[in-house]
Amino acid sequence: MGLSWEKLFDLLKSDEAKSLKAELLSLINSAKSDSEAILKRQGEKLELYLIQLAEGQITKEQFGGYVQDIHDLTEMHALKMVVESKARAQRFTNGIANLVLNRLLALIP
Amino acid sequence: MFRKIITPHLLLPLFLICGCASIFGSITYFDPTTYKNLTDLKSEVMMLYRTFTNDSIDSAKIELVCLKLSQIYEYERGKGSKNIETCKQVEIINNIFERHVKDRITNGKWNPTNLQDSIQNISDAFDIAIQTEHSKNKNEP
Repeated sequence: MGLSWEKLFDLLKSDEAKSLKAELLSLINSAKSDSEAILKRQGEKLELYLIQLAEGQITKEQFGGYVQDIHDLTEMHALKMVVESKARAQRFTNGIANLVLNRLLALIP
Repeated sequence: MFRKIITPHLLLPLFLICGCASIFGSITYFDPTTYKNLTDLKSEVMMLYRTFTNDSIDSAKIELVCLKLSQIYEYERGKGSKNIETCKQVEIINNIFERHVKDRITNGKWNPTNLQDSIQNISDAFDIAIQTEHSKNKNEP
């Protein structure tokens, strides 16, 4: 038995709706099975918002807003990954400067 | 013995690594003020959101949060290009906050579902920015 949001697509009797439903299912399943916890969480939220829309708990505009939130949060996560990567590089270069260029070379007669 | 091993052509890559990283991978160090600004404001925003289930809106409180977000943004922007990621994150938090406030003003008081969804998203946004700051290196000698 399909989830309530899938039934919403069944009511939209166009070929585009059928194709969109399949693509959305694939997108949600892909995110939910991702190893990154944050992406998994966003996939679960997307499914939740679709259910809430189908059940009339949120409006179409609110649904659009929450999906934009997911988009923005994923962008923030990407920025966090950049910072983490730069911080690792910074630790390495600081280590080289401190251990090798300053201390090791000073020890060598 | 070391002199024979460490020759100038072996040291050159080390200098290049340090040089390239300082140009392309430059980043600000952990800033306790940023950390405090974000954690403090997160609590305030969440308290404000809980009032969005009431009939009336606390406009003064909304304006105060807008002001604080703007101040945090300017503080982060002032650190320059090395802090571009955090600056952008604060901008995104501001966008999410503005969208939620607009929804409350336009569509009326929030039901429990609206409150739960909005609180979860703004809370996630602050958490990502807080974790980002926490992942920066401490500027210790």
